[in-house]
Amino acid sequence: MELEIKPEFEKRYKEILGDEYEELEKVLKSRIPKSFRINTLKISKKEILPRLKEKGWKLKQIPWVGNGYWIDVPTEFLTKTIEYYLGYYYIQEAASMIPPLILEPKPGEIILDLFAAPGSKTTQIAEMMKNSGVVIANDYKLKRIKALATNVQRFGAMNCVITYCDARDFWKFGLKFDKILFDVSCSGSGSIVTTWRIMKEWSLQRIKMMSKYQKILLASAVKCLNKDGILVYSTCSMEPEENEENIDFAVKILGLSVEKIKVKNLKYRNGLLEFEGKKFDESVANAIRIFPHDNLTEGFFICKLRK
Amino acid sequence: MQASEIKFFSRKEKNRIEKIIEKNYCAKLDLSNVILAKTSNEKVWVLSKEVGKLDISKLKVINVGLYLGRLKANEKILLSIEGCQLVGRQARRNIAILNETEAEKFIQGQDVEVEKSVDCKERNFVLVKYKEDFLGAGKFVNNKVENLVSKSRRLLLCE
Repeated sequence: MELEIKPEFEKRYKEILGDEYEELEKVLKSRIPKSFRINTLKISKKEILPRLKEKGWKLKQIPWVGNGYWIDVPTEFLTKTIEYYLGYYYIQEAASMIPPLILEPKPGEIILDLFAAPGSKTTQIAEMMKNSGVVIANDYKLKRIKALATNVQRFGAMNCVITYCDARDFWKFGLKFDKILFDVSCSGSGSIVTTWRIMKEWSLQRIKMMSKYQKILLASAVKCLNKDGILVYSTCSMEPEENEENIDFAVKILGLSVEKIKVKNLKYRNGLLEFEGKKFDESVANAIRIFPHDNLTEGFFICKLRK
Repeated sequence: MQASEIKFFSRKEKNRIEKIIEKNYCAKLDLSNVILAKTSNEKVWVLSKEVGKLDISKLKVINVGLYLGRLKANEKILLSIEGCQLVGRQARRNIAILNETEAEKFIQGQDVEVEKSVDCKERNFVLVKYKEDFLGAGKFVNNKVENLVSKSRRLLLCE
């Protein structure tokens, strides 16, 4: 079976990437390696690495995350080991490990993860906080919350409170945060490389609809942010409407400012300043976009906003 | 779960849990840097101190912190996998040690034969151990362990 790329998708990404488009298409049609993160709340790297190598696994360090590794085995093998059962590692896509790095959670802080399920970034944040402070891990899909709860438990996190609330209404509880992870639902076009089915669902109409909904969610989330607080906006979408256009909205309508992001050992590009005739605020360039062919990961967009 | 259903433990109640763990597993668990809470069905949770300082009363809470285990009759506690991992490091009693074959069966949810028992009391809850890992809890009956790990955590191992 081969991935069938939609003509509208091809047209759009040829416009964004120019000659580089062929590289994107080549990677989308291939398979990228699986990745996982060692759970240092339960075990040290020194203890777990020899055990995994004994299984014949060839591990490659993910250069931007100290306890992240690539591995070339199918997911079904990764989830059927005693170490997985014990919560010694967490399967997570390599690019998805970046938003928590930008959020920089510190021990003792109180953080809101507004779209937390299934818990990859939540557990990463809990770990970075060394099991102290609080992560309010919220979601609105009960089925996904079940997975979130299982993952948080397996991870051994003591600092998570899992809540069930429509993100549009969270501000009504009156809680305010210094840091919010806003990893919003999106069209998922950055995940086509791992889930080809998404290409079938890809349409401009869906992207526009998502973009509109994301703005509503963003405006609500900002109400939960303290003055000077940080909101990290991220999507696994490559679409400017779901990314730069929403950041432009955050700057011009919600009054947030965009902070410069630096991630060592990661190839990325600046946010676009113009797309299909729409011009975005200059500060949008401080956001980062990652294409699948940049680092052999899913595509991602990340922006650090300050209130 | 409504936040109102979460009952944070007093110092006295926390001491009781420490004593139950000490009595059953001869383990001194240091709970000084965490708080404990109880929800329905006698479930006990371990939380970071900061959770207790936050007003979560209006939130629709699904879970708080780490599920340690469930209190049972006669001052006993059935520990979760994570509860066993926390307690296991200090435990000196009620430990059932498995060989590789039985450990693989255990994580798939089966009852298992014990290779070596460390002060295991008949019909008591025990910590199940393989090499350095604590795999969960079970009931020690006739040199066997009845598997008490929740179904959602069981695995099918690869060949």
